[in-house]
Amino acid sequence: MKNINNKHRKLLTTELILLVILIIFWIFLLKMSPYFFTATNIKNIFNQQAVVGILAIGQLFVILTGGIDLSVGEVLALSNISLALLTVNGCPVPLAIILVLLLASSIGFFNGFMVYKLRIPAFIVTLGTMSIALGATLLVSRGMDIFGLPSCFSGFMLKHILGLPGLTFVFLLVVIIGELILRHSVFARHIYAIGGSLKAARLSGVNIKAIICSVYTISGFLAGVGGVLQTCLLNMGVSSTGATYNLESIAAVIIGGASLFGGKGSAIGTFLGSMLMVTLYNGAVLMNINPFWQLVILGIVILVVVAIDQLRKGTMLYE
Amino acid sequence: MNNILLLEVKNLSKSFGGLRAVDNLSFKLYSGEVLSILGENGAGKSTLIKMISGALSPTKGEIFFENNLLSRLTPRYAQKIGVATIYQELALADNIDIPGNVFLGEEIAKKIAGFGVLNKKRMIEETEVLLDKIKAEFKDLLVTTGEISGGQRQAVAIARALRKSAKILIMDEPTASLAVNEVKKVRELIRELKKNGVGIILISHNIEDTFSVADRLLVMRNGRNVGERLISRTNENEVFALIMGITGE
Repeated sequence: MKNINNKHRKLLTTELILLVILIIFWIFLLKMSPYFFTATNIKNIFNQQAVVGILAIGQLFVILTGGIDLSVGEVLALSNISLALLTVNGCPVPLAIILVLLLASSIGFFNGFMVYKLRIPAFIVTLGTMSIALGATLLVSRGMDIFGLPSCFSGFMLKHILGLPGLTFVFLLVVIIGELILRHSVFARHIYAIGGSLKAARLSGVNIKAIICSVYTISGFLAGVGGVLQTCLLNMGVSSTGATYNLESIAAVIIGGASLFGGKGSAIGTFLGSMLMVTLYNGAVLMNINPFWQLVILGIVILVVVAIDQLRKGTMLYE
Repeated sequence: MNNILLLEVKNLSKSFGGLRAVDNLSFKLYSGEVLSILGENGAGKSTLIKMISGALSPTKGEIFFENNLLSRLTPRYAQKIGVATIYQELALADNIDIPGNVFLGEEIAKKIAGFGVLNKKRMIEETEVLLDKIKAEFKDLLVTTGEISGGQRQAVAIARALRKSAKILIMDEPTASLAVNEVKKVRELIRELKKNGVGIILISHNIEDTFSVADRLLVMRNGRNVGERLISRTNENEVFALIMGITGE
């Protein structure tokens, strides 16, 4: 009954495979384009990855319970617009950030509460809040972009924290905290239990309501953080900024080895998944591929990954 | 049959819509006693134990544990007072490793800044002790329960139920999916627990299980208690007759 050390070997497989794919991809791009391995381009990749990556970590918590959050992109947009409006109208920046994070977290909590309480499938609930958040964004901004933000937003983009660009620092912080929570906390153990077997979790006395509400709140909160960072990145409020983030955050999570059925996935995996996705975009630009192909390619990657997950699970929906 | 009254169920009923799954059923369980509950599929056995373990709330009736009335019983509270249940489907999360399943819902943790941090080392050690106690052997404890055999899963579920010193152990079809030598092991374990004063409720299709380990049996038909017998004063024919509802009682 000894010999308990081969856990690490197993834990790392998905992440290792991803890393290898990523490195192969990088070497390929390095050969194909002289611009790939330049400081500007690498910085671009990290900046692009930060916002979608943070959303993806929130999405991961939800997906681990077997749910999905389709509202993160629009909550991000609403946070971006609200932050721009508040600060342009004289609200102190720290207060504005706190208010925006509170708003985003409350939307997340609302999602979780509805999913648990009314037993409505998560994609319906979050589709509803997605529409509400989008409508609210357009209403408060009247569909227009908001300029003239305080200089601290664009200033943050030039800041370095511990030698890392500010945006990247925040992203890595979220990934590391996320990974620590998922690996070591009782909270995460219960998240995985719900995703693995809702019945087992319930019979074991896991507080399902608290966990479900928490994961959606985390997702909402991180969408708010994404909105704040997006404001720094754009230095303005853009009402249409959330459009592709829902799909991309889900894609990052499942490319990162998580199962859409719940119960399996890691923050490191999601980090690598989002990096692979952003590299894919970046590579397409560098190789002069029509940007519209990016969506097609991303869609194919998602279908392949989900198909592999489904086959591994060994169950077919229509059998 | 020795001594203390552990559990008393009085006039318990459970309806699902128009269906009466358990109908006005009463019985008692003493410490160090194995009570076997028999009955055909759909007789209401599983519904009955789910009420005792807190997974379902009764439509009517009362459950007393050590002479205290239990109202609004939840699975967590039942575990806390010492009512452990092993469900037929075992209730394991197959994406989590063995110690994780043994301690699911009751993890050993340290509080760090108000946050519960898993103490994996201690959970592994205590799982080893529990599995040793039931003489179950695993090469690797850190595999998920989705990767082990049916008998091993049963062992994990039993270790889980014994994690805290249970006063009552409810086992729903514990030998249903086991190989012969594993069945023997489970029966030995039941005798061992009985010696330690645990009151055991054994739900089984397997009349051999009943006659091999039980002290007393209760037969359910259509949700009702249709007869209780001491094992020493009955035989298989009589029990079959009760289960099938052949009169002559």
